[in-house]
Amino acid sequence: MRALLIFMVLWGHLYAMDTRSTLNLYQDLLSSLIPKKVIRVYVPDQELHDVFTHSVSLIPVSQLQEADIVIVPNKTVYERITSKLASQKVSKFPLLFATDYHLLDKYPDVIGALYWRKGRSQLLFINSRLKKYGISLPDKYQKYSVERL
Amino acid sequence: MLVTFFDIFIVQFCENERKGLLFMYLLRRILYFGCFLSVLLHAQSVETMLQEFNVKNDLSQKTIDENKGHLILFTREKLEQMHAKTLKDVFKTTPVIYYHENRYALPDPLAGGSFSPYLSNFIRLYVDGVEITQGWMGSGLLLYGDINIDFVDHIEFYYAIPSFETSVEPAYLTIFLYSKDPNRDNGGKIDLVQGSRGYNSQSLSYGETTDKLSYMVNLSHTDAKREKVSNGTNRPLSRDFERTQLFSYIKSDKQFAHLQIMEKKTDALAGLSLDATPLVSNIDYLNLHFDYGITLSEHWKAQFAFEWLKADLALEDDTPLIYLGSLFGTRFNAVSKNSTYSAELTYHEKIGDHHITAGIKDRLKKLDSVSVEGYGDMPLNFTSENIGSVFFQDQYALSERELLTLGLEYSRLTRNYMIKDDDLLQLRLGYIFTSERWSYKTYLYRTMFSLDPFSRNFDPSTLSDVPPQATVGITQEIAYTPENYRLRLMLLLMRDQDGLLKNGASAKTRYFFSIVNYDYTFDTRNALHMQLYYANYQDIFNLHKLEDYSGYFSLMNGWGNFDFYNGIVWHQNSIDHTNYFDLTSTISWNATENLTLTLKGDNLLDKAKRSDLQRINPLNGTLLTPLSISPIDRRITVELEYTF
Repeated sequence: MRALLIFMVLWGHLYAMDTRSTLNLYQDLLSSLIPKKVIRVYVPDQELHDVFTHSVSLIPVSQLQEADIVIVPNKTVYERITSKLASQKVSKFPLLFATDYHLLDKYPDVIGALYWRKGRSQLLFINSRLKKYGISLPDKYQKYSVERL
Repeated sequence: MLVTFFDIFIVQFCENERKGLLFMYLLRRILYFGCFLSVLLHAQSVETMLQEFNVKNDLSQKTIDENKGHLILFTREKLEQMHAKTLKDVFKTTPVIYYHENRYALPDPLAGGSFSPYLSNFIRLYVDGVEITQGWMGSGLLLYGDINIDFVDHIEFYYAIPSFETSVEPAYLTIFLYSKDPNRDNGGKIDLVQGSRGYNSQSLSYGETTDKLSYMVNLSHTDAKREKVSNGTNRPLSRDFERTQLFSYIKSDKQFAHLQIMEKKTDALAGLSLDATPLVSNIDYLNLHFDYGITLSEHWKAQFAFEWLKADLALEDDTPLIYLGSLFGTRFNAVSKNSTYSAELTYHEKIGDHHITAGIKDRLKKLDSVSVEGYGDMPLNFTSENIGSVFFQDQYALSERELLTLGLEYSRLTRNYMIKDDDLLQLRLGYIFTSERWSYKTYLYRTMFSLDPFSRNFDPSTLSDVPPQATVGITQEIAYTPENYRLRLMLLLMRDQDGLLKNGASAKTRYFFSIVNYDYTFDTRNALHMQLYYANYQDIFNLHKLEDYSGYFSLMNGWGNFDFYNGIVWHQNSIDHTNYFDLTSTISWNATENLTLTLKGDNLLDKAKRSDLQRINPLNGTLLTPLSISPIDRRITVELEYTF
């Protein structure tokens, strides 16, 4: 067991995403969008899903209709999710948040994205889309929002 | 509210005290300032969280293995800020072995301008963990040393011999290129560069992830019009090249396959001309690399790689050519082909606090054919070298923060014809300590190198037995990493026995290197990097003592939609004490999220490091004044980058 820490430090590839920094950011970010103590998140990306299992405020759910928000990683998943939501009679659509800029650019129902650009993480919200859901971002996130792309 | 409460409290506390009014005033000011600071810090907290997320989730964090040696890392962010377009842009900043080209204008830091053929087989190059071998030529550096790196996410340079888990053949320096991941670089990218003297390059990339697979393809073309080198004739030496390069991979959770093809048509600088006045000097290369890897189970992994290299040589001089003059006179037009097959099977096991890796590896290098114009296919004697290895490595966790590593590798090199086989035994013992802010590592090792097949074939005098070189070394590294900066000291001490790079009568070169790094991060877009290097060699290049100094200082800044990079590399050595400065500057305008325009200047001061290219008067055998050549061209480029 004592080997665990040193191996964690020496071989990052054993642990694909850093749990602490990822949760720290997502917890703050998602609670700014959804004012709930416990937020139910649909996370198709396995790495991110594994990270979210360590959170007490972000609960990964397996059913799309139970989710407050969906973290969409790519086009294939987006298309699958939206067609599933359209075919089911869901009382309330979950928010869609992407990890790819192209999805934010292409699909008007994606409200924001945390993505990578040139090796640097980027955060971007679209105000006009947030308004449709009655979401007003806290001040600290205002600099990461634009009216439109 | 907070201030009001404290105001009331302080007023009550001091109501009968005259001095209390002043005290209250001061406290109120401090509290106001505290609140202001708190608001400021709160506003920055998203940026702080993003910065931490950025650093901790960089793709390099998935590939770094501290046990591979002493690391110099170029993250994707750093490569983007530097606007590094080729491996040469990065290599020229890394200490100990800096970027140099040989007399054929190929990346070959250890050959320099000597008459010796390709000598950089002590440097090994890997792409996504698989070695690029280029078989008979010694190491993948030959063609990949200045490769277009548009497909690359990050680069790791490791000093000291690498862990046996990753290496097939021994090395002092191992370069690992890791490709981009479509999870982060989904979609396509076009990159166009136009520069001085008509230099231009184009690159097109596309990557995508589906539920079970991810793939990436990068196709690039570079037409490198380079500075000519005056040789005192009306035909200055040329080193222009035209390169077309394909990089592609497909991978799933448990399998991967890479296909890489490169065609490089080169003007081969001095080539085989003794006095560096060739009439014709062209070499065209065609290289193919394919590899496949599979995770068979929790414990077993297997990997296979194939490499094929064709070299088409057109070399002519008005006097007999180096090495080949006695056979072919003044003209050598030939086509050579060679193939390399590598296979490895590794086993991983955790037993208590032991992390054990063991494996077998085999590499077969074949010289397929050499066809010379006017002579046809040449009868070949030495055509095959096989390297069979078995290794064992144990990494034992002494405590939560300490690791002891022990490695042992035995290799047998068998060759056809009359060339003696070699037995190489390598040992590696290391200790690593790491804590939140401090880290320390030290290695004690013995490694052995044998003369590469290319050198043996090229110079008939080395077809006879050449004993392998043994090097013993001890290295140490200590680093301190608080929140905003990192300070590191690296010390390396080595000694050769039976050195392959002959040094007069002595072949017992001793080396001492030290490197100091200081990296400071101001915020997400502003950082500085500083590096100082000192080396002391005893008995090298026919010198009793050689001291080598260098430094690298760079500033990376962001302002609005603009990014700036300024980096300077400084060199000096004890031979002539000349100071060389290589200044690189870039200004990038991020016009939109998808479009970036960059203006870049390389070697702006035109004072980049130069090295001597040796020349001999073919008529009387006397040494001529060497040509002083820098491998770094002075160049201005404009770049357009568009993602879709």
